[in-house]
Amino acid sequence: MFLQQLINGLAQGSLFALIAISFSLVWGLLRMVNFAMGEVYMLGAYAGWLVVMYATPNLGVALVAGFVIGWIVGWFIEKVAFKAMRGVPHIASLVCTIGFSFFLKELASALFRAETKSMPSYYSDTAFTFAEANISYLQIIMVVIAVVMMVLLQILFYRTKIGLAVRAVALDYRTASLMGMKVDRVTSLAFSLSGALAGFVGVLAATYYNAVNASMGFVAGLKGFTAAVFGGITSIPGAILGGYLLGAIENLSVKYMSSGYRDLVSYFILITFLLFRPNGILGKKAKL
Amino acid sequence: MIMEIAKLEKHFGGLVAVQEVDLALAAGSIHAVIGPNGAGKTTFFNAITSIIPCDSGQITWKGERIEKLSPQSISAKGIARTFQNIRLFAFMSVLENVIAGTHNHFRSFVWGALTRNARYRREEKESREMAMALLEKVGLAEKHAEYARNLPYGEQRKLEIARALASRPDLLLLDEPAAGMNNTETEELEQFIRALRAEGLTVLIIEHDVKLIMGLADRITVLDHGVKIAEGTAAEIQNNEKVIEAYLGKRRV
Amino acid sequence: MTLRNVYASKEGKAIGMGGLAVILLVLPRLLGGNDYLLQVATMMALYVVLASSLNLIIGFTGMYSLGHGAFYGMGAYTSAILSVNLGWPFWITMPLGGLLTALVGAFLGLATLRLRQTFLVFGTLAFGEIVRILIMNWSSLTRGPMGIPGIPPPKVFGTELTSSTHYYYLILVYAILMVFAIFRLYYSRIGRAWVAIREDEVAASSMGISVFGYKILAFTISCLIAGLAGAFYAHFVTFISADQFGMGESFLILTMVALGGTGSIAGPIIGACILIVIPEAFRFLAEYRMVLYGAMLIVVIVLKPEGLAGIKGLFMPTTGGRRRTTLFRREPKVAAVKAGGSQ
Repeated sequence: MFLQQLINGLAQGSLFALIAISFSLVWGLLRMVNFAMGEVYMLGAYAGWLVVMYATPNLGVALVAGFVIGWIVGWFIEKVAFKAMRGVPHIASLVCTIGFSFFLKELASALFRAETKSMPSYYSDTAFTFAEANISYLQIIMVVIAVVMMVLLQILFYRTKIGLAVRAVALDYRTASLMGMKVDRVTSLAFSLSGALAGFVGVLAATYYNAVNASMGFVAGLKGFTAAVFGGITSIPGAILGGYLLGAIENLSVKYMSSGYRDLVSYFILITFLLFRPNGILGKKAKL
Repeated sequence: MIMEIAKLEKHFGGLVAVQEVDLALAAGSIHAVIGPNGAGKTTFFNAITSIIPCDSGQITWKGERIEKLSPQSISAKGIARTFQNIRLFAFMSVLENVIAGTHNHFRSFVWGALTRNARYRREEKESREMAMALLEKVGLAEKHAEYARNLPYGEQRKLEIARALASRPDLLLLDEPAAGMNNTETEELEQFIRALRAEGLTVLIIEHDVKLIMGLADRITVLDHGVKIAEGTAAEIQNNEKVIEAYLGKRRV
Repeated sequence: MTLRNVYASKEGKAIGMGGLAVILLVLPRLLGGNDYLLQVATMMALYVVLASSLNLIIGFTGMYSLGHGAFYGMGAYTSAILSVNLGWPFWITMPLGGLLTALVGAFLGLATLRLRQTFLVFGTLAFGEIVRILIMNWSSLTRGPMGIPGIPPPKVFGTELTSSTHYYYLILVYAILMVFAIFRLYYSRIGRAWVAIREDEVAASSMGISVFGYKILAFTISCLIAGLAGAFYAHFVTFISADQFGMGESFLILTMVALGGTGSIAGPIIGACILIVIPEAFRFLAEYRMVLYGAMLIVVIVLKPEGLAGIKGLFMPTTGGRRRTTLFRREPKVAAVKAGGSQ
């Protein structure tokens, strides 16, 4: 039982970790938070659902659809909440993304109605059983995807020219732009990429839970942010670590308290880390 | 001596911003701290007013140790300051800025504010009159209703001094008060500071304008790379080898 | 004399206030006994108070909170539980609801010592969720998801207030008292200290203002008022449940402040009125009404970051087509000014 919970926790942790990376991407670059990240995730899930229900039952296509929708929405949010508001204090941008969060959620629930859509399951068969704990193919796929994403992003940031540009902009916005870098393009790219990632994870989550609804984004977004803060929002490995730890802790805690209180653990972790260790477990000492 | 500072030290990581600086302030004097850019002058001020807590050293104010106190307690002890990069309350009126400076002299709280009882009204009136008097003094009385941010640069500096004076300090710390002022304004400022001294105020001043300092200060302390390299009267400082070196670089022999 | 001058003059203000008072007093008559509209007006008064109290935190002191819905709920639940389970009268449970909320608010205010801006938003949001989850699951006390029905109406001079008109006047009196109290606090030594902290914490502390103390005070008073509002609400609707006080509520109150305008007395009042009237006025939009809310917040924040009736230029002074930051000059300024300067 313990092992099964742990495995479920790690699978769920992959989802948290991927959303956490989305937060890290934007935070690392602009020291900003896109509050609507959870809603981008939710829209990605709807995109995947639409593909699977009305176009092709191919999960790969659904994932791509989630990615594309996430990219577009992320791009749009950047244009409105950040680019158009450049020079306005960050907090106003944050309030604007809070507006987006509400807007997108209500839009989805108006378009698709309030009830939960059921998403067909994929690869849910047990891949192998280990000490009475079942591990499904999907769980393995999710973990693999999360790790691959992390590696890809690390390569992107530390081995490519684009990554160099992103890091330069993150270090010093003005100097980067004086050096002739297209800082606008870099920030736009980071936002779109983080949105795309969130949309992609949305499809994954919809497949894993077999459910899509308009309010799924809020909790996912908050958990993703918690994971990011937990592991260290300034680094991608930190976000991954936070995601897996959070997933494990959450699922194991169910043993000790009624399931209704499950989310409490995450929120306590969030508040505790914000207060006493805002750089997270891995994060380097950074000004907040 | 109204204030004695002993071996004050402040590091930022490996960088030593202020190193074992001693300073003794005579009551009613004008004391200047000068030094090249990056000499640690502003950090020194911030450490005295506890905005950045110092790492070690002692600050004695009227016989009492104050280096561990919070900025607001230091203000309550009678030490007020201005800032190098003007820090006014931009979206408060000129008058309100100065009234905010009188904060510590009044006691009425939530109950007083809600009921506007006799004490509250008396205190409001008093603080308003005090603030207007100070604005008169710095020549900003007509502009009392404007937002502080709408004032031109030189007047913002004056307003900041008025706000600091509103706490009725015994010691006023001025961080580059003449920065960005033209000649006439600088002369006015010099007169103004002299007038403050005449009223019994002690002034500790950081300034780049050496001409202003030489005419004004009773005593001058020179910092370089966080270390005190000289102290004395204007004449002594002007002929000090180390000071000339610090400002102009090493003389070639 | 332009219209604006008329409003600004003392007589103009007095006439305006008097007119407003008369309208508010005879509103039940004007609405011709339409219970539904009167209830909308009552809710409006309640939200005016909630938005104004949040403005204490956001607009005056420059902090952020996304947990206001939880405070509102805490007051409602405290008062409801005490009066349903113990049979205590409204006039005792209502202040107790406010006091408990104020206490928790003061405690949360301690967090402001370490949390700023974005992180304070998330911290208070997580706090609000924790409160909601507790209400949802602590069934022995709160009846969990079933909610608390049958909350007794308040009594005035021995008679129970039952009609919508009675409630309207009761909550109107409460709302006017609270807005008046906030007004007086704002234009006092306390309000000046708050604004000074919003403008520049370092300068405020060097002027002898206890930054931490005044931040906690702002949280405490704001939560006291929100808790009282919750108690009035509970006895007005007579049935409360956890989902009435979730994140959506916090969001709604924040939107009222942001839309109406931060840092002014009128801003949150205007914001609350608009956001309560709109869903009623746009009934034909059905489920798209809420979409409109979100869209409105986005548009207003982008075009007028200080809100409709906020302090002009508070968020965005424009000089020569270039935006500069003057508020929150702590950390964001670097990026903001640099970004502006590099264009």
